Amino acid sequence: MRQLSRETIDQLQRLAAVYKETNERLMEVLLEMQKLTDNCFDRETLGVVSDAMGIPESKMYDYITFYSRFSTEKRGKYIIRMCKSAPCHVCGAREVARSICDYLEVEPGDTTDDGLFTVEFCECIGLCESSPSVMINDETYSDLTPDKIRGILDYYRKEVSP
Amino acid sequence: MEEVRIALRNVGEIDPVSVEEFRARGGFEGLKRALSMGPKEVIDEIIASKIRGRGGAGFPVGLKWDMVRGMEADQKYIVCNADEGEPATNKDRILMSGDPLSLMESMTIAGYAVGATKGLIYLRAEYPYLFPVLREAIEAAEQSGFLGRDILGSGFDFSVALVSGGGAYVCGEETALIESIEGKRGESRFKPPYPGAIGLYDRPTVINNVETLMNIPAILTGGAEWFRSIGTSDSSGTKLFTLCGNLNRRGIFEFPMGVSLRDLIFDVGEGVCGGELLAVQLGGGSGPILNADQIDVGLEIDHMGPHGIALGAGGVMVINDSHDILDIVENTMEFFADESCGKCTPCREGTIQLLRLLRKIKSGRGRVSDLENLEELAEVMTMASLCGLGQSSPIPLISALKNFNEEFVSILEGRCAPW
Repeated sequence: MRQLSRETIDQLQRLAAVYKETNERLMEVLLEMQKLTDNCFDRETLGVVSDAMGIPESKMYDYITFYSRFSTEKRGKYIIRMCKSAPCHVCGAREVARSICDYLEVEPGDTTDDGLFTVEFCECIGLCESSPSVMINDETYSDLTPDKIRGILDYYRKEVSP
Repeated sequence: MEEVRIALRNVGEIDPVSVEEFRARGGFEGLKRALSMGPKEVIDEIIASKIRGRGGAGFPVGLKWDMVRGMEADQKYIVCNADEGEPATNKDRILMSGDPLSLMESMTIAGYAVGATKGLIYLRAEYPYLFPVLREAIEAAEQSGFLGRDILGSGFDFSVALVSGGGAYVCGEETALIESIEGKRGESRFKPPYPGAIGLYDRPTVINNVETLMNIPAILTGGAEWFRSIGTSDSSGTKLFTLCGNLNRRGIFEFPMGVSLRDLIFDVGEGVCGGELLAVQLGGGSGPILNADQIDVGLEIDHMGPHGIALGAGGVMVINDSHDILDIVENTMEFFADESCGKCTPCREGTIQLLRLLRKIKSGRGRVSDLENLEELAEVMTMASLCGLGQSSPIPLISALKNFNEEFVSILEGRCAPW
């Protein structure tokens, strides 16, 4: 089982303190926290966060598992969200998704062995006028083709994470 | 076809966060006019404009405000619903990225009118790149005295804060949205009570869609009569349409209510690409699926017409004939099965059973009795689901069943033994 570093725990506790000041913006704080913990709230992280925020672990789990931005399983540094909603679907989203999975040698839901990418299907990301589209973390990529997305993945492999 | 840009008036014309450029185009004039009037007069002007909500339900905006104005409370809230999750609509993204200051102006006017001092924008997590833009716009408005304490020396205080969504379509439903802001799972509440009476933190709350709000300053500067002169008697003003799918020209366009669907597809959208027109899904993911013979209609909020057309959030998703209509319907029904919040049984179980029955038919194992079951289940979901998600989720399937009956029947007859 992964052990959170002292430094990460400190950071989580600092963010928890921000939340406890007002008991507002739970979502914002948790989204920030998740960036520090392999893009997930696993059992260990949930325990730490729940203690620090004063929210029962069961309630945290209940919340985390409702919203699609969160995961309880470890994810890669970059989360590729492939839109499968109808406006992307009718413009070739399936072929783009296939291209991504083949190129990275994973199935939807999986993380690459090097821990760089997690590939997920998602529902509408609001880029319908330039579909098919995907998001890689907070960046958007539109008007995709199976070839074009491979070039983008190369860019992430070589330029962003050399 | 010439666009009529009211909500889009500043988009692409200004630096989105420059108060100076915004004011040069008449920005904050609506707020100034509001502050020079009494709150009740502002609401009367909005009522007289007959503007209705642009998020899909089409509730009269002035009546919603008037209800909240009439409530006694220690705190009231203005919530901007920026959880634009409806597939085939992304107009609010364009509005917020291109003209966020108008949104601040509109929310402030709403606050003044109903007696609220706090505004919140609930922004979907799928638009993370809009947070900095909106944050900057809030700061710019505050620094120039259009937001914050004692706005323009009127004695009226109003603040706007940003709240993030977490990736849940149902949170676009107003009561689920409130639950989410309160730090809970986004599960819809029973209505009544409506948010206008018991809303955010149990206080009276106005919840308006981004596009709805963007019209407010223009109504105050142009006047209700001018606004009413645009559009139709059922639906005043303009509407933003998201043209997407298999079209030669896609994008967000603004036209007066009543615009013809055919013109949107063949004139604005420059026709279908990759084949001939097979179908159009109108309004968004929960909208009806029409066939190619049903597009000669004017689009307004309550146009029921012969084909059960609903304008919804203004999505126009065009599907060419390289697609199988059952595949499209399956995709849409998967969406609802994924996004049901699970609180009420008709929606939680119904969305999954609709999908299961549809897949059975699609795979050639269906029976005629499955169609009857589909229709009965859809009726139960429409009547008994807690919120709009469950109530409207059967619409794509049922409309396709009616408008593409031949396709469904030929599969049933061609591949399975007749009892």
